[in-house]
Amino acid sequence: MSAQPSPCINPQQQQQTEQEKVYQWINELANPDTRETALLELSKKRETDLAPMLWNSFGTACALLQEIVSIYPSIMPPTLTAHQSNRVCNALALLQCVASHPETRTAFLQAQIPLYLYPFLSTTSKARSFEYLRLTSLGVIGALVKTDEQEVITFLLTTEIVPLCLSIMDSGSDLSKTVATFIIQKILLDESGLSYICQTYERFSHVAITLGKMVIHLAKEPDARLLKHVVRCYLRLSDNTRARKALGQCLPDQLRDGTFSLCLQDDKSTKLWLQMLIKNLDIGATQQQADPRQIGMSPLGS
Amino acid sequence: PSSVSSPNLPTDPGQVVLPPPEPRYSYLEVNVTNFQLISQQLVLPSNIPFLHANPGIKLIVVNAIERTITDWLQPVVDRSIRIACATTEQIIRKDFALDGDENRMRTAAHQMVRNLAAGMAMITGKDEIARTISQNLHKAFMAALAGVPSMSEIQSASVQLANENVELVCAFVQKISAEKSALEIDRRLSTDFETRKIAREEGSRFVDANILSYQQDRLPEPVRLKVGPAPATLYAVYSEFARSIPGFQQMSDRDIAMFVPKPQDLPPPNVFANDESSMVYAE
Repeated sequence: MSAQPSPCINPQQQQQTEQEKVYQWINELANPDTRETALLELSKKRETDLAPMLWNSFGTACALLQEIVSIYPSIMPPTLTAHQSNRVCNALALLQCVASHPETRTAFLQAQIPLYLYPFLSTTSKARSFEYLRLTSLGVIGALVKTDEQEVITFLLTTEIVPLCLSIMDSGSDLSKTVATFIIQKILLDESGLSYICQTYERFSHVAITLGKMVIHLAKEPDARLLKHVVRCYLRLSDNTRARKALGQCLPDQLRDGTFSLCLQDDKSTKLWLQMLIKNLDIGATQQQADPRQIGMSPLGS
Repeated sequence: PSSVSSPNLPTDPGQVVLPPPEPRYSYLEVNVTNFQLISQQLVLPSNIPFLHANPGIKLIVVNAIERTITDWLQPVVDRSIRIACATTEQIIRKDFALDGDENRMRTAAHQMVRNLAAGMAMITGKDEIARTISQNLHKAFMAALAGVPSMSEIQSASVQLANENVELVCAFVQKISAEKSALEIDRRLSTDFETRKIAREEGSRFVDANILSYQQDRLPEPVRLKVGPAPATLYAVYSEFARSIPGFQQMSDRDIAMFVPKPQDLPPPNVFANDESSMVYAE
């Protein structure tokens, strides 16, 4: 009650003009001539409650899609410039707001928007413009799965996101690998996601082989954050009976022999997950010593 | 991990990036009524001598490329229609919820769905089509020209011919995807068009009441949908869909006008619109 209004411009007024600028930029997205600056400015403001305005104002969703589809010719052959990459990533940042907001998420999925980003995830160019494009696109999917909504998992499982993430886990940059593994982890944590991945031996083994390669890589170049997601994926797989038996045969030794004790010394929860994983597998092994081939899942590696 | 901040890549002066090649074909020119017309446009590079040795060889090329189209057309077109129509349906309904003019809505829907379907077809099919053309040519040359050109000549000729012609084949597949999508979106939105027409004939103006009240509750006035046509500065986004179809040359205003749907072409409303069974019968 004591604050005196500032003599120049009071905070409320300032906020208002900021808000008005946001409205102006949103309206400027629809017009190709004014879009670029608007994208840049709005992508800095995305912590505010932008999503309902972005999705429900006229032409804005179209504008963001246009940014994506218009760089398809620069993907094949890979000619994307840093400038193009920055610009489309600003559009993706705004789509990420729409993807994470409870009021717009359903419409975002029904409009199939994630499918327009998948071509970016399957690019293989090591140029930085492509690395950022892949990382930012993964960020949108990451924001979707972070919401823990059933509809997100249901949507993703009808698309090819699992193999796309696995190939990034195989050969992406460290940051991309982390986001891709996080997405797989979130899919696995869902009941339908776990049974989808464990439904056929091919799916399970594709995931297990990819995780196994990551463990071997992590043993050489430790990365606590990535290891955390990898261990969580393994632990979750061990909740499935068939996967648990197969993992008993193919879990990389590095997860049992203390290779990562230094890397995990400050991370109690991952240490605990790893112990639980080993315990799950050992219990699985003593309960039934049957040949995994006879239960429909053969061991990996051989 | 999902809160990746938007990157700001510096332009690297050391990195030499060639712009993508300018599109060779205009949307208007690509004839999709049959493949025979396309085959006249195939590129047969003069630096491959054996191609020009006898007239039968051109036929081999045409057949191999035709076979590639037969292999890829259906799956690429189906996927493109499915995705582009789902997207367009959602967004057009939302953007035109307070606009009672079904012709404006329909024009925008066509412009959007053509662009998205052509883009989706290109990104889905281009690499596979190039690979398949090359394989089919390789097989055909091996069978027909055994021993005449060397293996490596055949190999490099197949790859070169694939690279030279993939854009044409792709443009053909893209345009079919786009045109079929325009028909499909008419079907999906037919009830929406009809409701607007009926409202007008009854002397009222169509407005989607749910969206109107949502807009009034949740959207600040400056970015809110208004009843009636959107201002030209906002509608520009749909003209842009028409102008820049991925993989094709930019369209002029005159070309764009040729694709504006005529009101009398509107199909009869689908009484089962939004009903699963109508989807099944449409397959």
